Amino acid sequence: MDKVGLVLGIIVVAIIAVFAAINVSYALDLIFFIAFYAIASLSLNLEYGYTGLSNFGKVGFIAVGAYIAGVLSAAFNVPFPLCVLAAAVAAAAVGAFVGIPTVKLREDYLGMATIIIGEMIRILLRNTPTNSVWGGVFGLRGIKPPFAFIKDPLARQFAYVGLSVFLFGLVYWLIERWGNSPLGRVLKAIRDDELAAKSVGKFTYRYKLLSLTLGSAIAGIAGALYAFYFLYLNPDTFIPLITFMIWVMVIIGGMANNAGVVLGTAIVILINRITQIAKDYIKLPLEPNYFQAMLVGLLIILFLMFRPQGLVPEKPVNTPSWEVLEKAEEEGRAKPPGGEEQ
Amino acid sequence: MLKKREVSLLLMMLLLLQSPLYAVSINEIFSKVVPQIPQIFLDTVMLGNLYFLIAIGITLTFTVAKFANFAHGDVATVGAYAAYLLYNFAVIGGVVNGLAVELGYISTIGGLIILSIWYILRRRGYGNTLLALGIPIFLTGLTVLYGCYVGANLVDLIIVAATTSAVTSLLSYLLVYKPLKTRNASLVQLMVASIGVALFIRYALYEMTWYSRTYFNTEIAYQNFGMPMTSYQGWFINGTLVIVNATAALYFMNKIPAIKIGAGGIKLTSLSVEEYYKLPPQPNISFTDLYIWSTITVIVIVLGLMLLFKKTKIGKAWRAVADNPILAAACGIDVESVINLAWLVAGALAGIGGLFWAIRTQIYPELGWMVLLNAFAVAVLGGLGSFWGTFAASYILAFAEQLGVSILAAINPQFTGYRFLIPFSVFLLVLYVKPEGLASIKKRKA
Amino acid sequence: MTDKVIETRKLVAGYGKMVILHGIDFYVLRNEIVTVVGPNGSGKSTLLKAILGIAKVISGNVIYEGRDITNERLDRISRMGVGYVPQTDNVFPNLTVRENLEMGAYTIKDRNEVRKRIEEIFEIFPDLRAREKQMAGNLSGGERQMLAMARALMAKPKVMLLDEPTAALSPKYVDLVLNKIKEIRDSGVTIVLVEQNAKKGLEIADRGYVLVTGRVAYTGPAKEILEHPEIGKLYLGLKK
Repeated sequence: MDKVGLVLGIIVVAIIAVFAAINVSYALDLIFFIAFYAIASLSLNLEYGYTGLSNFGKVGFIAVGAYIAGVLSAAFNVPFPLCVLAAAVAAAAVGAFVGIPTVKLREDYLGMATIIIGEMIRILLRNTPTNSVWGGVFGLRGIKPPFAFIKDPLARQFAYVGLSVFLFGLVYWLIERWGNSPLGRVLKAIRDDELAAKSVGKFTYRYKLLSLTLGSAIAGIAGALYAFYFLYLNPDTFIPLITFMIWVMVIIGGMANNAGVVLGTAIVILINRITQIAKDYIKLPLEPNYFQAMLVGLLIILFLMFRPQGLVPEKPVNTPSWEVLEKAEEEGRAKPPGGEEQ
Repeated sequence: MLKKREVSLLLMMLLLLQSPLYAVSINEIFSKVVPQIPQIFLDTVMLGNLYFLIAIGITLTFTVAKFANFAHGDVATVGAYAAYLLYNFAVIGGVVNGLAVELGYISTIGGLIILSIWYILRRRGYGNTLLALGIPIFLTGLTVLYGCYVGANLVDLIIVAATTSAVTSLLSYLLVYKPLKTRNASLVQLMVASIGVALFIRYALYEMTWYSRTYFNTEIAYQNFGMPMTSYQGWFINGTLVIVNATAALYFMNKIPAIKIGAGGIKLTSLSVEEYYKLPPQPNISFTDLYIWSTITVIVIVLGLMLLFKKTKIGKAWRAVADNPILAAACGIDVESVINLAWLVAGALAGIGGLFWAIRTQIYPELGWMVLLNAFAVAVLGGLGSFWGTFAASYILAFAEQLGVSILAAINPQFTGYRFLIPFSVFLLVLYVKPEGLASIKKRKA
Repeated sequence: MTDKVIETRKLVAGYGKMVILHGIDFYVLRNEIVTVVGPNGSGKSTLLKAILGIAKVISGNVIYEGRDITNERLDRISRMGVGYVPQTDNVFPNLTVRENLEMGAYTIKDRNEVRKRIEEIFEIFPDLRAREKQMAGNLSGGERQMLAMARALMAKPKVMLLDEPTAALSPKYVDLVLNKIKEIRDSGVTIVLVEQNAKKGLEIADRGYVLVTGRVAYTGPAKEILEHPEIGKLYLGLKK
């Protein structure tokens, strides 16, 4: 990781430590949120950062995971690990369903299809019968806590947050493995130049679909974690704004850089929390929640314009790229007049 | 001649529409839906008009910018809010609102200043962007002042919605998409940026509603537009369609204006109260002014765009830029001016569309966003970037939605909450069966 | 005094970070045909694009009739009287043939003048008249090339830059196109021709440039290049 990333990482950890010193439960909550969003943004990074797929319906896949896990637990008493697994499978199925017709088309279609799927899922959930386990607009209740046997609430929270962080670590490790595997290089090749990737014989359609399906499965896991943390789900929490928060995390952190994305996640969430606290002390003629959403929009634009590589840029692949070859060729002969001061 | 894929498309659509039928007796649904068919057609025209107004803007920007603009819906909301505020708050209790007048003057003078800068710079070949910005700003100011001193009528509202949205749309291009394009941003990055613009505009509007609530004690979110509507009702009696001004029936006790359309031609008459109450209690069709206004607006816009694209030099240049911007520039076409015009026109149409949506339902900051997703379905069904494809798709989708809602209501009135799913399902179906949309069907015939 | 219409001085140009032209000195005199030949990827098309401001000029200058037009906007260069026919995508496929020609005359304000111009063009390219109302996208390759040249002629350019006009054409059309180019020159237009088909291209030319990996390998009268013992064999695939 480069210097900017390191410094920012230290600052983030320091802020969390300060919170922990003041209020342990609050710090645990903060850590859970960072872990939850980090899993979601890592999954988006797999899709967008590594493969260049535009998934604008991430929140829909999270909702699928959350509701499947929630219903299984609330209505059928399915144990926690199975619920998480089912959530991943269900979200992956939705991802494949959207991906099959769209990943071979231009990026616009996938963008529009995913955003519509995300909203469709929310509307469907809103319109489920209120007297069923799904709960409609009243929300889903009765999810069984996974660590019910621990009596002390703080310890229980600690155990669950610990589990979430462990799962986050697992996801991180997996995506990092993928990123550095031959598959990861193929995905990056697809992102940078589809034509070239096709011409060297990699079947891009299948890899894109795979990437979208895996990304959706991971989003489903994040959803399940969310469900078992709050033990209550409401369709109106899964609004498109969540998707774009996740996009901001990836864009700020740095495309195709997992550590950067996690850092971006932590920064966005800390800014969110700190403004929530600050609004009690500073009176502005603004509504802080709306203002934050405006800021999300502004950050997306500014980062794309002035630092498209994010705070922590992508690590170069360990194979000679065109630039290296070019340089070698350049050194082999006389420098052209004028040079390349661009 | 239908190809296999098209047949399968039609079959799947039929299956989709029928799938809920298996729950209830088909006959029962039939008997409930069939009498509503005239009404369904009327509602289709109305809803199709509104879809068209939003979707055509997406299509138009797509022709020159080549990416799906996710901020289009929110641009429409801006125009709708401008019109709403002008209509309801330009004159409060008979007193002209000082703030509105100030805004009107600032905008008029600002527009004039921009235009004069353009006039000075025009010789050097610069500043066409200033011209594109100056005119709508100036017009906005004039219409606001007109609304304050003379009174806002529908035409005035349409202009103010169109110009404010046009300015918003052009500014979003100049400040965001254009710099990104010069930095070689990818398609996905442009889309994400447009989402950023969308969020910024939407929550700025939310912020405005909050401000109004907190400092002026005025609620401006989730409000009815408040425009008085005349409603009309129609009956089929012995092969003659009798349309009655139902609003008038409440006021004029003895002469209710009516139109009789039948074999004998169209006749303007009036009905007495007795005659009115002799009509069956349930009219066969009912509609409001909005149906008429939106239809007229769409006709004017379609004719205007046709003239623009087929007859005028700048319209042909627009098509040329859509086809091949480099070759267009090699012809001496000022590509930037054409692109500016495209964003202006798209924004203006969005504003008009947003205004009609707001009149039809309510005004709230999320209005445009909710409509946008439907408009995407329309644009994709029409084949991205095709004018007539978008036109046809607007009404096809509207029909599917209206028919679907009637069927859902016949099964169980609670199911109408799923109406949003109908255009979305059609959208997904199109992606699966015919991602090129309607435009490809037309092309093969040509 | 020789009258240079277009001149480039030590032109270094490329796309983004990629440098393709490494210091090209090039000029065209009034009313001559200059053909630029060279193997694939030698930067022939890029030379035209750099003159027109499509490719990025990194250093050096492009001079047109004594004015520096380096990195000027394409539409302004075109308004000065430089016509350009790209190699691919050289017509507007969704516009009719007539509309394509109208676009060529975009800079002419007078509608009657445009109508007269179109009639004149139909005299030169009689094949196009029959297709007046058709979409340009439905034309055959040869007809498209004709339309592309006709479109560029509409604005009465002083210079025309043609990028491989004979590529992917049937032999019948190759000769037709090259004859038209000669006719256009005879009507007083200066021509810069980039050609893959070196022999045919040089046969109609007054002078020629041989470009190899972004540098001028040889320049001189076209005949000299054609008859040069080594150039033809080394770079152009010409057989003795």
